[in-house]
Amino acid sequence: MSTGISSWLNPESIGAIYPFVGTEMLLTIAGIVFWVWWHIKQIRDENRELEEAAAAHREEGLHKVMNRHNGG
Amino acid sequence: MDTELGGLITIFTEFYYWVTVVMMFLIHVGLCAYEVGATRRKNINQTISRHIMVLAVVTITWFLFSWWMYWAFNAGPGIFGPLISNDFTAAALPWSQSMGPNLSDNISGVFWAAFLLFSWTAAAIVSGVAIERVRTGAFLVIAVLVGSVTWVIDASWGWHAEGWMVQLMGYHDAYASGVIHGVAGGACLALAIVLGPRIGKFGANGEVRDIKGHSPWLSCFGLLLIYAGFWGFYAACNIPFLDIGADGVTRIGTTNIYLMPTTLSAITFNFIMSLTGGLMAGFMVSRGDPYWTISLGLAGIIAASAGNDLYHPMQALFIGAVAAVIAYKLHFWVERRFKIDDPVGAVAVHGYAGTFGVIVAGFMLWGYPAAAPIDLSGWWVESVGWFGVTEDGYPAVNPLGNLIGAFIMFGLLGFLPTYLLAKLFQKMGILREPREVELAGADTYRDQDHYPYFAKAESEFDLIERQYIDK
Repeated sequence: MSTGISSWLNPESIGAIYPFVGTEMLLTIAGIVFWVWWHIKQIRDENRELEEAAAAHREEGLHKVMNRHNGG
Repeated sequence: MDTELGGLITIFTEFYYWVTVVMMFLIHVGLCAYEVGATRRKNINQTISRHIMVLAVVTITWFLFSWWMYWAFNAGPGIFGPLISNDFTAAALPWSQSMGPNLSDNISGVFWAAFLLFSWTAAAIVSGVAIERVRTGAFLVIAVLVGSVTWVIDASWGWHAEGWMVQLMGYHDAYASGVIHGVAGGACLALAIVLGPRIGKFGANGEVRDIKGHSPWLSCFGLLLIYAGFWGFYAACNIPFLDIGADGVTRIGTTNIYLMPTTLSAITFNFIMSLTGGLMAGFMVSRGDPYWTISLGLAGIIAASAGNDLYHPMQALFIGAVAAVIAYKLHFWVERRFKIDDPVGAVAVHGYAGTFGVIVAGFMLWGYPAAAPIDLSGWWVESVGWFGVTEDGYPAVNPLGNLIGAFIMFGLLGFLPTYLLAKLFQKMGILREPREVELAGADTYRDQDHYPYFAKAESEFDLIERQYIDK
């Protein structure tokens, strides 16, 4: 059983050395899905947090928030 | 690696580019430091995280499609010819076996990474202009646009020996005055316009207020680190070991990105001299302001970069000096006249200086061979060198080609796409932070004070900001 290379005796005949050669297209598709998902989730999470933060600051009062943070 | 000499050349070239990648990493340490230094205490964590994530999102997209675009878009595509299809484009596809550890390909990884670091630079430059008000999510998509799409297209067109701007217009921009800095500067200007100024930057009567960052020294230190990394950038733009002799005559030498001869010595002379020109003029024009003096040293290098493979060192010095004055004066004139808030001077240092440098190179290097002519069969045009050819039939560098090129870099590929995407995000309401968060600071809600043990102090500008709370 080998996921890739099982002998280094003839390096001149060896090309790709990563495991599971032949799955490159699947890995590419997975990469695209991961990349797009990451942006969508990041934007949604950030928007939610910004809305929460803005609401909290409104409720507390911006003068108080700035005093607390800046020690004014 | 059929012979010992061939093996030596391959291993040397692999190591050469690897070293440039490591050196170029310093550009990003520096960019992050100078941006964070220009940020007020209440936004430091956000600035750090956003800047670093630019590198991540550009990297994954650079692997997935941008590296292939660089090789495949030489003719537009669809403008002067079709998508380019050859061994290089095939090797750059993300599912190619060259895009991974491969004993028969020592070069793809390091060359891919060198160009990736250029891409990081293009995208990260834009980060500084948007500090303290842009939403991270929107900015990271804009970073992908600049770092993995627009600059790659312009590099394929004008920073590749077979790009249409080089072959047809004689465009010359050896160390990326326009290709990276012009594009990034145009994008910076677009984003600054759409975002609008930070709250309180301009008074009711239009007066310009200086919003001081939390650490000017950190900004200066970051700029010095950028200088250090810039050495790697210059080296990475060269091909270190090529036979540049005439047919049948071996003459080993170094070339620029267009495979035209230069030397590491040449670019070392000119890097230092253009830096010196920028520093000397910058010191004078800014009256010794350290941040601007060091920034304008960078502007000096950036301006001379288009022709630093060929200039005389004193020419590089004077081009750098003139660029520094132009960049500084334009920055403050645009700020006063148009009320555009560019907190780090990125539009000036990269955009104005870079664009000026591209235009100057067209005059200074008029008649030099831009690149070896390629076989245009399959393209939709018939001849190279629209604005002139050399006695050997090579497309010639010329003022018009570089002038049009400067417009393409700053305006068409720099400003326009970023302006449109930023407008879209603005319309969707996801471009700028809510007003309350901007005033309170992005780090405040989660109590992420970067200096929790320092005495808290209210700055002069905090008092000004409070006037805007109830408006």
